Amino acid sequence: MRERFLHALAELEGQIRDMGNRVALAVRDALWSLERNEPIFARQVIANDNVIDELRYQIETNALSVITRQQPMARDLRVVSMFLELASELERIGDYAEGIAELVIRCIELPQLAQPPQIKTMALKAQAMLRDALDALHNRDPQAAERLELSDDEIDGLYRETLAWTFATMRSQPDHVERAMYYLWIAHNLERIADRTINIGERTSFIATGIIDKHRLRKEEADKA
Amino acid sequence: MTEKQTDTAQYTLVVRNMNVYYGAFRAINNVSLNIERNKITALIGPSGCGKSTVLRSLNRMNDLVNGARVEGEVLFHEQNLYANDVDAVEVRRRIGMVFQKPNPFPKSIYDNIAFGPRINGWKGTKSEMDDLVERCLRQAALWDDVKDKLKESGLALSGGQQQRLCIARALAVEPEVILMDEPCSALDPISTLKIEELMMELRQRYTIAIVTHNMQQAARASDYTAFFLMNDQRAGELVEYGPTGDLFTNPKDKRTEDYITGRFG
Repeated sequence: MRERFLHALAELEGQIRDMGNRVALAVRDALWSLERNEPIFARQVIANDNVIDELRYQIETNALSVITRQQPMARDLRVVSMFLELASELERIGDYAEGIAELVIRCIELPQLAQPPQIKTMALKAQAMLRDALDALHNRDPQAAERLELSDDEIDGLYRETLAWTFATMRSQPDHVERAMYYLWIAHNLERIADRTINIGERTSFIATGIIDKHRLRKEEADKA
Repeated sequence: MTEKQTDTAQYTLVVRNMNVYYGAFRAINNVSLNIERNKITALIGPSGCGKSTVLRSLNRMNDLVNGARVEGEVLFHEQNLYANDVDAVEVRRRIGMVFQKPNPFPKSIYDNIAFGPRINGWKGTKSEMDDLVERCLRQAALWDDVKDKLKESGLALSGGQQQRLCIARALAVEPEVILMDEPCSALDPISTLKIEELMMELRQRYTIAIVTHNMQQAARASDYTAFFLMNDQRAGELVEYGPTGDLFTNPKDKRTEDYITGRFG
């Protein structure tokens, strides 16, 4: 039954998987460049970003075509509509990787300054979260959002530490103001990447269960109280 | 009594443990279903699942089928429609029906509407009847199409207009419920959308139950959806019933999911 429809769904799934892999690679390469203070990979990330953008438009076009021509229902409808969301989340993560790559290139011409140690930890965690989110999506794992949320708390803590480090460095070593600033921006990009991976986790939960879990809203309320 | 059984007031029709037989063959197995007041309830399912049989049992239309027998209860204002002292003709006046193929009488548009009230002993004046005809045609969104040709035959109208005439005719005897058995399956897409719009209007004053083969129609035009399926003995059963949005985005039953996503059979 519905061979053409199933084929179209499988194709969309493949495109999302491809896009996820490319985005994960972009993040990895940007961070590789950062760690080694080496611009070649960073330049590649910047050059490849338009491939990611192009994939996003392809996924949108194909998803809209599936909705129009096949009228998916129930889980199928959740999958297709969430793929639209996921394509835009992934595209944003790609942009953050590109942002990191651009900052690495700017840093290269500046005097050397050791990175704050938090960045390395954030980089590892953000990458692990992204990989976890993508795996969860392919396995339709509804637990991912909550798991990712825990890692995100750590990332937020590390970001605040980086902020403190930046202020301290700017005061004590005014020659390094620019580089310190760029490190903070890099940390900010990593924090954004982590945030977007939680969105992927939430969309995955919705695909799997059909329930829009507002646990992040609940958590924010609880944190305020 | 369970909680469910006492709380019948919010529902126009309450079906309890209904079995329908055609001779020795059980066509419907133990269906219980509450039809909400001023809502549109869609009955969907594959051919032979019993959805039309259930619909026809709601106003005793199955009485007209030889050998048909209904067990269980259909409560309308707490009154079991299948109790011995209930007049089936009165039931069908208060619970009207619109059929798959538009079936206007071979009479004028005016007389199609006036027919029901007249055989029900209409006592009003000519001008009151004029008002009633106009009101029903307006409610059925047909007045502007036909106001200048009320004396022309109902059969001269287009298919979609004929179906709206049948709806107007059903409204003329002031029913509370309108049952629709695939009312759009003989209509083109534009006429179909007009009937769906009309249903949305009518729901403010009437309770509507509709059988449709068209799942998109159920998704577009109903508030509640009931999904039926044949069991191993080929008897129709209610598989899932709930708000239409929920049933089409997140069905609870695997069989519902398989059907509405087209993976059935």
